[in-house]
Amino acid sequence: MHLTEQELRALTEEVDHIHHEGIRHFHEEVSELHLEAARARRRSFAVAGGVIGAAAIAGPMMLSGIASARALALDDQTIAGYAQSVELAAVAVYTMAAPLLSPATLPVAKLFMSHHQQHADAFGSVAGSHKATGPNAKLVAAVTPTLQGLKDEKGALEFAFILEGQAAYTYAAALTLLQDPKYAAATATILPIEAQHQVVLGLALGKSVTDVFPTNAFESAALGDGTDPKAGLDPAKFA
Amino acid sequence: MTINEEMSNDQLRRELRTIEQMNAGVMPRWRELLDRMISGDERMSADQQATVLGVPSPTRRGLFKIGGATILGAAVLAACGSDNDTKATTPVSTGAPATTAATGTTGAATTMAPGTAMAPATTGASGTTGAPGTTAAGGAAMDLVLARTAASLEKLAVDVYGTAAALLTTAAVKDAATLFAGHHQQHLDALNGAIKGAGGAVVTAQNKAVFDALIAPKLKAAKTEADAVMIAVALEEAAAQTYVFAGGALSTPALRSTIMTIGGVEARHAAVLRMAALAQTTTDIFPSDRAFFPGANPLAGINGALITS
Repeated sequence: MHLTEQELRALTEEVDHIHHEGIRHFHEEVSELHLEAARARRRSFAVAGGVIGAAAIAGPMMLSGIASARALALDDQTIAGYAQSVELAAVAVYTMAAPLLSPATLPVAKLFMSHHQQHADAFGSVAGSHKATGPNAKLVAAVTPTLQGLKDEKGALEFAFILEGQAAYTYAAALTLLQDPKYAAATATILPIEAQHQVVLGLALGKSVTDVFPTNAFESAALGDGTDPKAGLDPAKFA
Repeated sequence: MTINEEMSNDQLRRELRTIEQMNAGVMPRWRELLDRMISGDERMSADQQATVLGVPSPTRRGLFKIGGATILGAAVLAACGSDNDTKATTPVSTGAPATTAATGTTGAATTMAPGTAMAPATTGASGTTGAPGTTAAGGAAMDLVLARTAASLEKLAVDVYGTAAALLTTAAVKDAATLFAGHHQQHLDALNGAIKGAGGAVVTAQNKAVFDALIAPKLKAAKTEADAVMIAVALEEAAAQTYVFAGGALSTPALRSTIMTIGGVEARHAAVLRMAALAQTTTDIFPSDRAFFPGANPLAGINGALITS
């Protein structure tokens, strides 16, 4: 699909308004929810039967942002619809970045765009009444200023590199919320693809091996507001 | 392509050291998963645990595929010797295998056909099938066996990278292999920590049965760096596929997420090896332009693979 610049601007204004209304108490809520999640996690370890001694405490990367997403009481269909909208946003991003790409890179971008479209279709097919009607408006609005500032292929690929990582992390986080194993199974087939997208883009950009493992030996399951390249896209902000 | 020819070895080594330090910082998550599995806190079935730990399923015949090799074998978890044995050897008689969304496909791509593969589960969902080993008491003894077996597989991966290193001639490839082997070593250490904490004996030997069945023939035939890297690719892709399967098979969202934070990285390993060490293209990384990573269970029985003592 294709969004015009005018449509993007309109979306930006709309989303900014919604965002500022909703963000007012966001940080306090997240802080409290993080505490609750930590308490719940400690409780869960206490019923283990004592085979293992002191349980490890979950890393902050896992808890960050997930509690806020959980607080939205997202059911599996809602999450599927959200994932669909994020995938469609990725399609939109690649579409907008395409004019900056060289003939050598464009086919790869088209392949990845096709993947994202297929992911969106798959999620949309099970999102029920939460099926997205288009790209995630808040996400598109958030990335539009950066997209509009891109001037060359390297910038476009760098942008896509980050987005692909965030998509993978979003799914790692989504898996902490999805209740139906079949939704989880399907999501699990998508996460590695996004991760491999990021590797391909990173190596194409000349990044080092270590750079294509932004969160090292484990994918991040953290969620963020889109500004952290090592955190997924928090539905508390973008849904 | 080669790995970033402009980058000096010193630069690469510095980055490797940095990332290893970061890795050490996030290892508690891996230990958390192990603790939860071994302690029985999560209602994981034997199948699910076997899947996670990379050992054969007790209830389903399957295939263990690495690099094109396919081995059929017994349901080795029957050898667990716990009070779960009877259940563990009884095939699931009703419904689909524990997770069908990622397993009901063949070929390179695991499709996610709209309305089917990803449809909300009413049957066959893990944790609801009555699969054996779902009780914490019954799973306690098996958990240690599985943990030991998994540790032996991690040791195998470490050893394979070590052995294959002799064939590596490119400095950057060697460094990448060292990094990836380091990840497996950390997994082994974490497993052994959990095993020891549960009163078990730590694992120091590789899984000989898996090595003999799957790795040894390829290693014996390997003559070049590319041969060695292909063995590593096969291992990493099999691991990633195992984790993808587990990502739908485990009983709780937390476990499924944790597993996939590892599975995604295994997929990255494979992509790096293909692209950077073998100069392959996206066609090789995404065969048939696949948009979904295969989720069919790549594991099945290999006699002797289970570490019971």
